[in-house]
Amino acid sequence: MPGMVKNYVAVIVIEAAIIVALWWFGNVFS
Amino acid sequence: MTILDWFVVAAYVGWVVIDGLRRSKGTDKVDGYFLASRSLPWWAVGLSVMATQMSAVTMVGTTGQGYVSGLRFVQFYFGLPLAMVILSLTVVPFFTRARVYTAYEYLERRFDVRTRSLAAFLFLMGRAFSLGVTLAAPAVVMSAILGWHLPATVAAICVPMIIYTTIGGVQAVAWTDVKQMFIVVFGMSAAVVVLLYGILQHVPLGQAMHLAGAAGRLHAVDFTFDATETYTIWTGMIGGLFLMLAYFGCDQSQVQRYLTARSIDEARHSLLMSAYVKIPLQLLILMSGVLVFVFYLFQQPPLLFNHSYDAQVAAGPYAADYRSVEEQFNREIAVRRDAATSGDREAFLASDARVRELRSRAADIVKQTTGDQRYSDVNYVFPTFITTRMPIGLVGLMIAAIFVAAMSASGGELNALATATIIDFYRRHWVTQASESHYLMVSKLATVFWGLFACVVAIFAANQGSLIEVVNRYGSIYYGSLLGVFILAILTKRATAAGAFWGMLAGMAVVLTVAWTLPIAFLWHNLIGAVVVVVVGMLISVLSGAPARETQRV
Repeated sequence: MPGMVKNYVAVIVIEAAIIVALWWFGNVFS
Repeated sequence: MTILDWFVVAAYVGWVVIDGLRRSKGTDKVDGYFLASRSLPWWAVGLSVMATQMSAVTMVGTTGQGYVSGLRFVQFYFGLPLAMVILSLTVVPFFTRARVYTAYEYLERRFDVRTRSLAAFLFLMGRAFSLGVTLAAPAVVMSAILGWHLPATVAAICVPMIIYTTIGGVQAVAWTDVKQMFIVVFGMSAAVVVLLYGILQHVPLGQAMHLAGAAGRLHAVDFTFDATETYTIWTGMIGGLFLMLAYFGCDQSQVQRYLTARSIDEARHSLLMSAYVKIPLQLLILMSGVLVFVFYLFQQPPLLFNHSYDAQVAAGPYAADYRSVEEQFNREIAVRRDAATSGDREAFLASDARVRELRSRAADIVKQTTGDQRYSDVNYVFPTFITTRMPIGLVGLMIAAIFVAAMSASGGELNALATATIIDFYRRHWVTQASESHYLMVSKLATVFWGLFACVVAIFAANQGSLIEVVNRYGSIYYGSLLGVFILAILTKRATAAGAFWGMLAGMAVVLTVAWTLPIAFLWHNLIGAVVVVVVGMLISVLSGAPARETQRV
């Protein structure tokens, strides 16, 4: 995979992981 | 504030100005003055992009939002990473290859001068007034916290900023932004350490998080689909996506940042830095606000953080009522502290609800006494914490960071206003053939003009709450339409100049109507505006029977 495409995929994957982590965090501490 | 703190403030602001002036060496031509001769490394551009959005309002307002309503504001940025990817694939290569000074210059190449001038005019009007508001909001807060007169605070922010932006051009702006980002991250991290140290004296971290969570401060993701709700995952992912596409793709104050990069890939990397870092950074700032909330569960907070009207309330007809509320509040704080320490969730929530109700009653008394229906203390929470609870030296650093945040966010906008004025109007319409030195001189004059204009708006806006609202509404009215016209320019072959021009006007008319008649959250305005421009623009283009043209490859 070319360098920039890897970056784009990483951005989307990391954002999805942050949203899931925030949702989990909010549920654990509620 | 001690003498050491004031020394830190003066040293930091002085360093920013002197270093800005030093940057004027490479700015003896228009290309150097506005675009740093396209020579900046990606990391400096990336930090500059983030600093331009990290205004002083972010430092005082976002932490205040964290204190009052928790992490939910972070959803506003959920559309940003995807927007950065889309922009890296679309407008970044277009603008960089076109070697334009402004985003609107490209619209003339694709459509006509009428479309370019309208887009640049919308940017100038919207950005000039919002620059005033960007300066007014922190100036009001810092005036109250430091006990200064408002014009003095506005001058303390504007005068250094106008000096280094005028003389040093975009290089001074960008390198000030770089310094500022390091100071902000260091300062906010120091605040988190101080907060955690204070909290851990009373409860373990796990219990502190459970207290914040029980009070609803850690509820960051809201899946409710309600068009009137401002912050949900849907407004952030869809409305926020279109806002960020418009902001980073069509607003000269942002486009100009990445036009200073050395190459297309460096420009792309600078935007992707925001994609990676912006949400975690925003979480750090919001989390600071949440930790201030937990910190004040164990320390005595003031009844209200905004003391602007204390004397007026004490001498007013409701002074006795206010004192009574204050006494009840102090008793309730003790009850809440005991419940929080013992981990009694039900008692804590009941007491916290009473504390909120007492704060609300106190705010109502202030409003009744002063007639200021917009009274709020959200923006005063974090500055109060800084000036009363942080160690000597760090107080000065944080206050300096707030001042320089106001300068660095405004400096980029000021430079962009001067660029659009000179490139899209002065050099295009009025004086088309003149020397580099002439254009450089008028560019500096334009910078000074817009700086002074913003100061006047700031002083006026500070006393006109409704004006701030009007400016914000105006921004959401033209952003979507600007995005729509760039979509027509870059992604379609059939769109004609007439379609783009009338489509843009139709987009603004529809959003204006929606904004004043329907209770739809403002983030959706950007989506509506963009869709209307594209649909109307394409309809006019197709119905006018103009032949399809190649999307301009530049």
